[in-house]
Amino acid sequence: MPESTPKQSQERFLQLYQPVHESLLRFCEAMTRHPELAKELVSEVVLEALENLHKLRDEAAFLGFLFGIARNCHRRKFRRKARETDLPDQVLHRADQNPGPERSAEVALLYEALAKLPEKQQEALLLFEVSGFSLEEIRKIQGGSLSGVKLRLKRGREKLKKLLGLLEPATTG
Amino acid sequence: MNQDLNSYFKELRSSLEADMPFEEVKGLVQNHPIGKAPIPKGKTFLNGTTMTITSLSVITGATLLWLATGSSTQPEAQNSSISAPSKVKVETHHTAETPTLEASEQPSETKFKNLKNSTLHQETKVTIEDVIALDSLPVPVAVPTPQKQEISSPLKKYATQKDTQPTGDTRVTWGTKTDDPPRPIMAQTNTPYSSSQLLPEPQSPQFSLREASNMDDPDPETENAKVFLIKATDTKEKLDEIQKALENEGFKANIKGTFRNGTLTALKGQVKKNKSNTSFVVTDFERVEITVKMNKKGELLGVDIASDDDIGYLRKIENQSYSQNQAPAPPPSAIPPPPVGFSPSTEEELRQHREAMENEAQVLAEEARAIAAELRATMEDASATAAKEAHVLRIEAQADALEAKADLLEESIEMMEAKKVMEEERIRLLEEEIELLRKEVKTLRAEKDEAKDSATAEKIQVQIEAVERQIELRRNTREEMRSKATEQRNQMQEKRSVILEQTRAIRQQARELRKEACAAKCSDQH
Repeated sequence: MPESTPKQSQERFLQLYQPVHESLLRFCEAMTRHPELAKELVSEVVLEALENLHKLRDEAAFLGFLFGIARNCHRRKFRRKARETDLPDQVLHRADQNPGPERSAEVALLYEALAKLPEKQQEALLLFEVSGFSLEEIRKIQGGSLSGVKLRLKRGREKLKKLLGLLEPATTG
Repeated sequence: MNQDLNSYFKELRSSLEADMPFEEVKGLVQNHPIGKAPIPKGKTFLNGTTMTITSLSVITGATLLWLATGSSTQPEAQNSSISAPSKVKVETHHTAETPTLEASEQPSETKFKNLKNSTLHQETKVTIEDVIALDSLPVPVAVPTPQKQEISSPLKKYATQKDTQPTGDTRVTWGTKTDDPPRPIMAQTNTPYSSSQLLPEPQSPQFSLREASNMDDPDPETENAKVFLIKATDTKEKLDEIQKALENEGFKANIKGTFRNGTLTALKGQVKKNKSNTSFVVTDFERVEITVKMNKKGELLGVDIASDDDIGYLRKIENQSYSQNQAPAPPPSAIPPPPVGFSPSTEEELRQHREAMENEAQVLAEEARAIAAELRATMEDASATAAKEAHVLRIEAQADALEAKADLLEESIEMMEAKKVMEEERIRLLEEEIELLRKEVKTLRAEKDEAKDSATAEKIQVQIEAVERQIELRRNTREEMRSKATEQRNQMQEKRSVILEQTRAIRQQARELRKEACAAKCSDQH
C-alpha cells in the first residue's frame, strides 16, 4: 500500500472490504458455527486487517490477506477457548461440532463431516459453497494454482460424500 | 448423488443467520484510534486531564496507540493518538515518590505527571498532568530532588526521618543552578568548598552531640553571620524586612513565602553575591532560622537552615533577629558550625535532650514500621479478596458456559432421535406404497384373467409389468434406506454415547466448579 494518512487508510480499507463483507461473515459463521461468535470473529479480523494494512503491498492480494487473518484469528480463538474452559481439545472440538436446537440434523452431519476433512479442503469447500467465491477467488485466498483448487474441491466433495454415506452404489448389469 | 451433497450445503447456507450490517464494521473502522490525529511531540495537557486508556500497544520503536475516552478537560485528548518513539513509562516528575506501574500492579486510577519509561496496561485509568514525548522530555535542572540516601547533615537526616512520620513533616530541600549535588546545610553555594567544610555523617540518626560540643569553635573562614528567625505566624512584611536587611549587606536576596489562611507554609529564597549563589526551600515548619554566612571579605559562604525542633532543642529562641558575629566557630577538625547563636547552658542538658530525641525517634520509627506493616497487610488483604472474587466470578462463568454446552449437547441428541423417527416414517410410507402397488397388480391380474380377447390381456400384462417394476424399484429404495438407516442408527448410537459421556463430564465439571465457587465465596465471607 502506498504511504497515506491514517484516515485515507481507513477509507481505502473500507472500499476494499465492503464487497467481501457478506462472504467473510458467512465464512466466519461456518467456521465458528455460531452467529454471535462469527460477528465477534469478523470484528477481530477487521481490526487486525486495518492495523496491518500497511503490510499489504498489492491490493489485488487483499482477499488472501483478509481471509488469512480470519483463518489465524479463528485458530487463536479456538486455542484460547480451549485454555479458558480447561476442557480437553478433543472434547471441546466434538462439542463444538454438535448443532444447536435450531439446526437441522443435515447441517450437523455436514459440519461433523467437514471437520474431518483436511483444513485446506474444508476451507476451499466453505469458500466455494458458503461464501460463494469463484475458483479464481479461492485461488487468490488459498494460493497455489487453479487446478490445485479444483483438485481440493473435488477431493473434499468425495470425502464428504463418503463420510455422509452418499456414495453411489455400484451399478449392476 | 452430487445433488444430495448440494442439498446438504443448501441446508447449511440457509441455516446461517449471523446479521452484521456493513455499517457496523464501518463504525468499527472509523472509531479505531489508527485514524485519530496524532498528538504532536511535546504536547502538554493541562493538569488534571483524565484519560481512560482502552486500547494500547507498547512496541519499542513503533507507534503507541491509545484510545483516550472518558472525562477529559481537553476535548482533543478524546480523539487523539500519541506517537512515542520508544517504550512508554509513567512516573511522576520532580518528586522522589514515584508511582511506577509494574506488570503485577494495575491501579485503577493513578496520577502521573509524565510519560516516561514504564509500561501502561489496558483499561488503565490515568490522570495525566503532562504528556511529553520521550525525546522532548526536559532535563530536570530547576530545583532537583535531592537523593534522600545521600543526605548527610544531622539536620537533613533528622528532616528525612521526620518525613517518614505520618504527620508533622518538615521538609528542607536545596536547589542550585549548577549540577553540583545538594550539600548539607551549606548546600548549593557556588563558592568552592573544601571537603572539610562538609558535615560528617552523624553517628546516630539524631543530631550528634559533636556539633553541640564543638559549637564554640569558630569556623576559620566564617567571620560574619547574619541570623534571621522566621515563624509560621510571620507576615510578608517580615520577609521583606529580612530581604532588605540582606540587601543592605550587599547581597542580592529574593525571599518569598507561601501563605495559606494567613499562615506561612513554605519559604523559598535565593541569596547571591558576586559569583556565589545559594537557594533554599523550606516547607512545613513552625520556625525557621536562616543563617547567612560570610567570610572576612564579606563574601557569601552559605546559608544555614534550621527549623522547628532543631532550633527548639538547641536553644530557646525567641522572636528576635541575631546580629553579626554570633556564629560559633567550627572546630579545626573542619566540622561546620552548628546554627549561629547556639549557646547550651550545660552539656548535661544537651545529653538529656539528645537522649530524649533518641527515644522519641525510636518511638516514631517503631510507629512508622507498625503503620507500614498494617498498611501492607491491609493492601495484601484487599488484593487477595479482589483476586478471590475474580476467581469466583470466573469459575461461575465457566460453569455457566459448560452447563449451556451440556444443554446444547442434549438438544442435539433429541435432534438425532427426531431424525431417526423421520427416517423410519419414510420407510413406512414406502412400504405402504409397495403394498398399494401390490394390490394394483393383483387387480390387474384379475382383470387380465377376465379379459375376453388376447389383445386386452396383453395390454393389461404390460401394465402389470410396469407396476411390478415400480414395486421392485421401491423395494430397492426401501432396502437401501433401511441399510442406510441402520448404518446411521449405529453411527448415531455411537455419537449419542459420546455426547452423553461428554455431557456427563461437562455437567460434573460444572458442578465441581460451582462447588469450588461456593467454597471460595464461603471462605471469603468467613
